[in-house]
Amino acid sequence: MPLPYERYAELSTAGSSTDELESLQRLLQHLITAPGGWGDVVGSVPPSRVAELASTPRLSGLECVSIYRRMYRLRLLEVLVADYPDLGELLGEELFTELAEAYIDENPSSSYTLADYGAGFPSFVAQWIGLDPMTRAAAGELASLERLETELLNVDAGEPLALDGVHLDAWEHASLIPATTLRLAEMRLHDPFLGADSLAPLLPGEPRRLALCQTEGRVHRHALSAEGHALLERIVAGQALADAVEASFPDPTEERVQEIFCWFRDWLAWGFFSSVAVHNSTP
Amino acid sequence: MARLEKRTRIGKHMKNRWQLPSLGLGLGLRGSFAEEVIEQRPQVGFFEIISENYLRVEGDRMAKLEQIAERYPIVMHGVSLSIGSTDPLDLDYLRALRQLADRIGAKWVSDHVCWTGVAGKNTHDLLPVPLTERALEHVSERVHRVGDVLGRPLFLENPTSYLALDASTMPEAEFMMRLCERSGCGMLLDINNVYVNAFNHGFDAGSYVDSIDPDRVVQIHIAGHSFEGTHILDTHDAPVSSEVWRLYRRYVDRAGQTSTLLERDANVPPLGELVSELNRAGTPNRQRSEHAASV
Repeated sequence: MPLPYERYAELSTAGSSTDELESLQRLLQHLITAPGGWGDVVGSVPPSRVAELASTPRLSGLECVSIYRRMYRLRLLEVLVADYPDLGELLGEELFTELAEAYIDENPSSSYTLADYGAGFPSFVAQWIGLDPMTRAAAGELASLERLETELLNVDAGEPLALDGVHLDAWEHASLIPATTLRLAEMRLHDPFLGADSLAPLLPGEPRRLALCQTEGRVHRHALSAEGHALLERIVAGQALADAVEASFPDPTEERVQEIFCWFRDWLAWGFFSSVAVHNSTP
Repeated sequence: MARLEKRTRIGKHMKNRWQLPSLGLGLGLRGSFAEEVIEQRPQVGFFEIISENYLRVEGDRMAKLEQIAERYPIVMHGVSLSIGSTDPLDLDYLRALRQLADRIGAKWVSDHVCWTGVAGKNTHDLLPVPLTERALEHVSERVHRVGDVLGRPLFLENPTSYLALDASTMPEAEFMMRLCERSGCGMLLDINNVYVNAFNHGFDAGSYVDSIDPDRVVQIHIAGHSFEGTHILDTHDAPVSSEVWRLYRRYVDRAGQTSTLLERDANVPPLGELVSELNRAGTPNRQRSEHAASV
């Protein structure tokens, strides 16, 4: 429910200079952005102020303002739809729209850019009472993942490290520098690789681990095993390659060595690293 | 023929007081065809970007823009200056705007005569300012300060509006011309917006266009719109209507070739189709040139 207009105006102009122009702008903005239904919003404005809105040849002043109100809400809804496509698919259009409308009501935009408008959406989703607790938690987790992907799109990818960038003998003393577009994630409640038609929770203690990496303007999700994820975490943390492998696999079998080789081949191909720092092993 | 076509694309000077050259016929750069522009290098005089789409942005989007800026003139068109708002000017936004303009070598920077929000909020829409002496004074004073931060002249577009304000005391065209005179800003004349507002508010679009001084105009916008029965929305989702083409020709017949940009934001057709539509803007001049050559 919107605040009664008089109260709203008193609150919103406190401490600032007011004149007719400012007063008119506050009136219009209230009509366009106030939460609740259009009837409630109109009812919160005194008729004397409605008279400031002139009719056009075919529409009343209020009908004209309602055009702006519809476009305001549609524009913000479109941002959320674009930023959270998987969540939209998971919840279905009707439920997602209801959720997004609730977010828009509570979060008027305050920035010239809409790039960050949806930044608070994951935490909002995780607390929205319109979803049952299990769905709410899983949806919040998925929204966090999609937000991370949106953020990665604005990161300068740079050139990925090529496999032949370092001589084979030097790898033992090397540290791999992660790409700025690489992020590691763990999903405990929802499996992003299962598709949108499943809300089945993952088994407790068995999170789905993945790496997100943006290359050429697209963010890709790569599934990781628990062991691969742990090794990659060490490398991303700055541990030298040999140390990271030894810490993860103190006594590796030949099969494991082959597996590690395959991981690195894939990780390099997927653009996980930007460069390599080779430490001199001799004093 | 090729020489005539080139003449319509790149005029020497427009009739504007800044002596800014006509960049010819341009397109609004959209992400959906940025890659194609880089690869195919279409015959387009310039590209216009929506400034906010590139502010404080890195990554693939910025990399593509920089590649395009190496090959085409770029002009910047913003939607968030909020020159008519009673809120303080957003200096961070203005500095970011200047930084971007310097980085890509933008030929000029434009926005709209409107306000987008007040009291720290943003409606992300181009809301109408009342056409009053008070608003004229307010906007003019802010134009000066914006120009100082940007380090270049500012050009303001006549926006579409769906709402009339009881306080208004003068026609929109008069407000625009007096604003240019008083503040020193230039005008980006959006022909489609003139048509849309004329329908929505019931004034004569031809008279509006005739009252615009070409000395103040550096660029023209043309676009499509959608008819909603009781009003027209400036949706940029359709080809330019025949009425808007007629208005456009009415203006350029009097004013001469002016940098002209085709805007398309939804239902964007293939790039080749857009370029074909854009080239219709060159037709009248080409016909005149051919006629002049034969006399």
